[in-house]
Amino acid sequence: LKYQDEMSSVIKNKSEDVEKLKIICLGDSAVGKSKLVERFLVDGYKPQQQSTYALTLFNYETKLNGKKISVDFWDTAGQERFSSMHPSYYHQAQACILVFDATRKVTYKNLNNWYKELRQYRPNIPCLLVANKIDVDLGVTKRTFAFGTKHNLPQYFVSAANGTNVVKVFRDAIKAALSYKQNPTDFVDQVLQELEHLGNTEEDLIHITCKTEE
Amino acid sequence: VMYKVKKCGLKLKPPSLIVEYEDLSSHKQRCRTMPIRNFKKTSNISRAAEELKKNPRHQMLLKDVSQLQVEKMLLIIQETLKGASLDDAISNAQSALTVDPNLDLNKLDESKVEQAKRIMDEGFEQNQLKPGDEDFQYDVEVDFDNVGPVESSGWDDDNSEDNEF
Repeated sequence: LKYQDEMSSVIKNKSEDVEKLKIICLGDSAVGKSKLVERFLVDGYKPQQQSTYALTLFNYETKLNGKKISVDFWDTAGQERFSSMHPSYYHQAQACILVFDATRKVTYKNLNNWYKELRQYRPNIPCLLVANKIDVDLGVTKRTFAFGTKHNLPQYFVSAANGTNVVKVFRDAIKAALSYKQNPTDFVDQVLQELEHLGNTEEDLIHITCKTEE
Repeated sequence: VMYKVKKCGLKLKPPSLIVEYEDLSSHKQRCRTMPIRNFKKTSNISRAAEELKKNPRHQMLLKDVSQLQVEKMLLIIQETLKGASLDDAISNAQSALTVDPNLDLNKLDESKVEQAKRIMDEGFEQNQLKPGDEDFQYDVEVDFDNVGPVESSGWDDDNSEDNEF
């Protein structure tokens, strides 16, 4: 019977499973990607995971509609210097935060390359466009940038320095990532989701084991 | 003893950094001259600045002066050592410590990108609101959709690179 208790707690943990999300940050060097993530995580900030050569991972846990969510924010660690990211960076991401520096036109022009690469690997994931550093020149918020409208991306005027709209972008990104994960449109994602559901057979197996113990 | 740094300047001969500060216990204005030893035309600026900041005698004051500010002073001194007039030295140092907004940082080598980031961080820190600051608020939402007349950024005019998509 003790054995069964242990087993049922295993099953309980399983049913309370956290939804895991992966959100990637994309954009030129020094547009403020890390600063944005750090600003978002300032509240209840867990020390960041080990940074490797190619990326830095920030984990964030929250609840959405009563469901536990664990988000990994992926941040480049200088790899953007090669004007391209490793395919694994995009792998299974459910949302993208695409950033340009509102004080540097070249970073806006380069959005095109980043967006193209993103769509090559992730044709359908939600992508949020961020114009960062509006604290330097608030005038940019009165200007139009066609990139977002052209590709039908929601655009945000943001400052990682004074915090304007940072939390909003990240919350929207998490919501978008979650709804994408629950209703993916990429074929591969659909298959992956099927596989995740198949994971339940493991629980069934434990049930069976319990029963034989009885 | 607490100090409040007021100003940071330089002296060319002998090469020195000058810091004006207030001694908060006595409310007296003071001035500290920090000679920069063995400083040459070829000296590495950031290393010299680091050494100065780490100097146990000056640490108390220089912790409130940014590395970049110290570097700027050293750069001015070094430019004059190379023979530039003071005016030229100042403007050269100024432009060396400014990021050209048209520069594609993706195309620079790592140390140049790091330098650009350090310069930008200086501006970032000036505008930064941190937890603990009086005006800090975690969630700041501003709707810019209805801010009145809107003009084009002018960043979409040339379609040269834009055709692919």
